Amino acid sequence: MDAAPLVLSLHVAFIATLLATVVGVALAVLLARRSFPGRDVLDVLITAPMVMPPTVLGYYLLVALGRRSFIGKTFESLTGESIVFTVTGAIVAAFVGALPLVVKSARASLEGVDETILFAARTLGAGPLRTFFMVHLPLAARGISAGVMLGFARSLGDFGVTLMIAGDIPGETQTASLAIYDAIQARRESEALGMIAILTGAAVGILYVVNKLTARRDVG
Amino acid sequence: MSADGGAADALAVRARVVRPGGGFELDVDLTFGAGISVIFGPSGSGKSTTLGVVAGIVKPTTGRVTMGADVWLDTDRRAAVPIERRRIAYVFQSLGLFPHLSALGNVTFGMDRKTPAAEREKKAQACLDRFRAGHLAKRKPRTFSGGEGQRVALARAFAMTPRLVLLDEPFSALEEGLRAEFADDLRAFARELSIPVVLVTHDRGEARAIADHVVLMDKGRAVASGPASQILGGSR
Repeated sequence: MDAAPLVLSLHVAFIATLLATVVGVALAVLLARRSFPGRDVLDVLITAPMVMPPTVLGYYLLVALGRRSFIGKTFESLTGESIVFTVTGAIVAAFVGALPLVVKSARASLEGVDETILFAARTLGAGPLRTFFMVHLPLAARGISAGVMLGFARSLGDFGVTLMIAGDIPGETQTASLAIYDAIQARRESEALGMIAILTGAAVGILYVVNKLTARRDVG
Repeated sequence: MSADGGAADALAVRARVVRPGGGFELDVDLTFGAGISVIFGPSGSGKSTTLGVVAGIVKPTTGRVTMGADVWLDTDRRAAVPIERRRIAYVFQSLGLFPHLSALGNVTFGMDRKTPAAEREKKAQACLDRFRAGHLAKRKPRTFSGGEGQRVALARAFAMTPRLVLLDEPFSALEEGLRAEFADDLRAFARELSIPVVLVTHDRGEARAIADHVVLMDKGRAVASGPASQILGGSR
């Protein structure tokens, strides 16, 4: 079995999950705490990747991030590399898949924290930032971790969007899911079996841990 | 912060909260000096809302809240001191203890962070001891009984050296036998700090047991105010 696609998948998934965690928690805070014009629209935009056909989503991303787009041109002039059809594209694809999972879990956990406890922190002299990092975030940590792990599992296995915006270039952007597809198409099943086993194990293992994390239990 | 270190500051609160449908949910003009004042009235009479306005948790439609010389809220001038800078010890009905921190962690949370950590912990332990909760220091709130949680909450309130103490239905978390004990703790607390302590209850017996001063509320208004014996009748 060629390990390169798996290594690439892990690399892509780690970076995408890291980004999705930072961006996702920030968006969750925004959605959970403040009412602002356009909140519902933002919520729909973040969630849309969960239900949209990967080809459609991939098309929009190609338009938004392609080499002739503003973002694509800016990125290329800064880094000398294009976003699409590179590892960066694969990371973007994985990020877009992971983000809604992180945001949904994080928002629900943040909203689930008893407001009285947050007010108690404020009356005890903690400003909004200290209250958030010392009380709100720790109390929502389990749910956020669960979302992050789901996001990681999701980004490890992305297929459609990755194919659309990163392509399927062996040794460059060919992630494990793409390599499995190619191997099966070429009737080289034996090559795919190892990756299939590992991806299955990862998904099942992560779901098991997520269930443990989200099982009703008092924090402490 | 007020300049005088001696005589206790008085709390003055004037607030109107307009109901969405019209009419007033709350319409009060009250003053509280040192000692234990009890806001007494049926549920829904605006007692907790009054505490919320004082703490800065509830924003009244119009109102002015002052503590000594400090203006905490003045809707006419659009001025409001943030909750965290009012130094109010607020003991919530559900206590609001931090479930992820030990009793000691809960108590140190509100203490001056310029104090070295070791000193803070020593002082926090002393506060817990004082409220007979010293043995709970390392335990987390989910293991506390109602009375234990109440004592930790009081220790936490006391440790932050507040300018004002607010308690929302503090007796409701307590088993019958512990109420007199809690009243003693609270009275000692109020005497020691010599600051206004405002307590909300819907129970006449509780009000009578602990109040120096009573405000009787009904339908969002203060309908009577004065010494406990005069307002509630009977002897203490």
